Amino acid sequence: MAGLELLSDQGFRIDGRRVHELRKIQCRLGVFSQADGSAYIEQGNTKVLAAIRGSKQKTLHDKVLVNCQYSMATFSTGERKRRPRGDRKSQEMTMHLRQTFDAAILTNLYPRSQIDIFVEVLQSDGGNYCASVNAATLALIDAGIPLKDYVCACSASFVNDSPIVDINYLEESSGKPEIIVATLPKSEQIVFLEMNSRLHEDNLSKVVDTAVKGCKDVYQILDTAVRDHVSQVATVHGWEN
Amino acid sequence: MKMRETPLSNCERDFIRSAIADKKRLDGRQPYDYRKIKITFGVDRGSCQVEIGETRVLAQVSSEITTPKQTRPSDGMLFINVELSPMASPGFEVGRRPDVTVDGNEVKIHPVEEKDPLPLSVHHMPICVTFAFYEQGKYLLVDPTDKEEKVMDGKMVVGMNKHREICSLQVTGQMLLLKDQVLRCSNIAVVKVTEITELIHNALDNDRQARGWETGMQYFLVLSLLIRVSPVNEKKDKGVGSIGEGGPSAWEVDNEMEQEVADEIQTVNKSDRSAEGNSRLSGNHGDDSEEEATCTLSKDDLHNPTQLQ
Repeated sequence: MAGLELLSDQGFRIDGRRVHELRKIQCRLGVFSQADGSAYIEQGNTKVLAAIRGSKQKTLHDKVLVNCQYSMATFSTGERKRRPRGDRKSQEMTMHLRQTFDAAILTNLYPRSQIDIFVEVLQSDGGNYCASVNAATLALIDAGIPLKDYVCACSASFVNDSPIVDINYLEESSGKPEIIVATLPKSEQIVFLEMNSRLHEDNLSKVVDTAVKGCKDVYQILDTAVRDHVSQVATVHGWEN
Repeated sequence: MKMRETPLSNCERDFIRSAIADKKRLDGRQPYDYRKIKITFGVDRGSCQVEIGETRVLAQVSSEITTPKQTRPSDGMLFINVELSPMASPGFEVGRRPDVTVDGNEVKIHPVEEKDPLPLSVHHMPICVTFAFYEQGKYLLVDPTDKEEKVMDGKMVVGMNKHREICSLQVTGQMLLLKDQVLRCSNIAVVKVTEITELIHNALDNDRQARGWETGMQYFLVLSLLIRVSPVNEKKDKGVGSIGEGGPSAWEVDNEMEQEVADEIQTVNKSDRSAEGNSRLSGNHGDDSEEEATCTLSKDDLHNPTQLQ
């Protein structure tokens, strides 16, 4: 990967973005009628589908049990994937998603219940966790489950002494540091944080800032999408007045 | 891995939490103190045992020659098998690989008797530091014990090397953190990592001294007892030193003798090993064969742990 120039002298990245630019985000809420809540999100070439289902169960008497299932479609990656779920990476991702939403959902409001979050990656081009979190947030909002705030996730990296936001697959696999942050954008609280590869401690602050800023940008887009969706639904049902 | 553990009683839970709120810990440490670290190296190369308080981890490194992956023909493969908690293991440093010479199409793997095994090339040593958070990040503890981990809201693990480069960072648990808290943890980690790296280096130096003398002398004694010693002139003549430095073997040995020697060395190692066992149990080297000379070389340095408060 030595020959790959991740950031040109003019300040452009491989896919033509600037350092602080997110990929194009498109999303829809309520894509399925059977599930209690559902959403579809595209972040550049990463495409994720999320669905929510609520049910009763008896194990936890004081709060809701958040259950997650993360899977990647066999056709989502460059090479055909053998197992859509159950491999180590998927299990890890499932755990992280559950941890994230356990912290963000007001779990004490639904004792003796269970919320299932199903996430399916249809096409993968880096930032799978981020897209999954964003999709699941939209689906939870669609299902009407109370959250502390939107949960927005964004990744960042550090190339040629400058932090870059929302990295794609090529940038992810270049061996440069990758930091993934999920935040509650209004309070700037960090729900999930993970970093791999080497990054000097002095630069940590800059990269985290970039990622948090990315989360806030994502929040703007998600919020607009939710408002649009609600007004659309209201029009259809004639709730406007 | 997840076995059913006995849960803490509410009473104990409240006690620990209130103690933490008073900036006190069960084992009398300050909030930012590390537990006692003890590093012990095993008899074989590549084995190391680290004790941090009551947590004990054994690391063993082994290597073999295999065909590389077709997609990455110039890269080797590294497998890490973890049972229980991952703690930075200095075992990598003690682990050695056999020296290999490539001559045209001929590849020769030198046995340990011929050339001293080489250390693995390790770019840097990442050290993990754990932080536990209580009451939504209000209280912070460094290096939590098992009980403290049971009552915490969440933890953050920072892997860092002595150049202050963060190699891994992970936050787990259902808690909300602020950026400042993350940065504060990484600052604390810098201090702890410097301390621990120094400790590991000291332990490694002790080990190297103990081992270098031991192996060097062992081969010298064995060989001088059993072989006609005649250094080869065309190669660099290094004598005993060559064994320590992984240079070419300077001993001329004919095949018959070599077999004999190999057998002898094996028996030496065996008796050495058993004497080792004896000395551990009773402190008694109860064997007076001629190879006994190798056993008298003290392994005390080797097992002498370095400690850090």
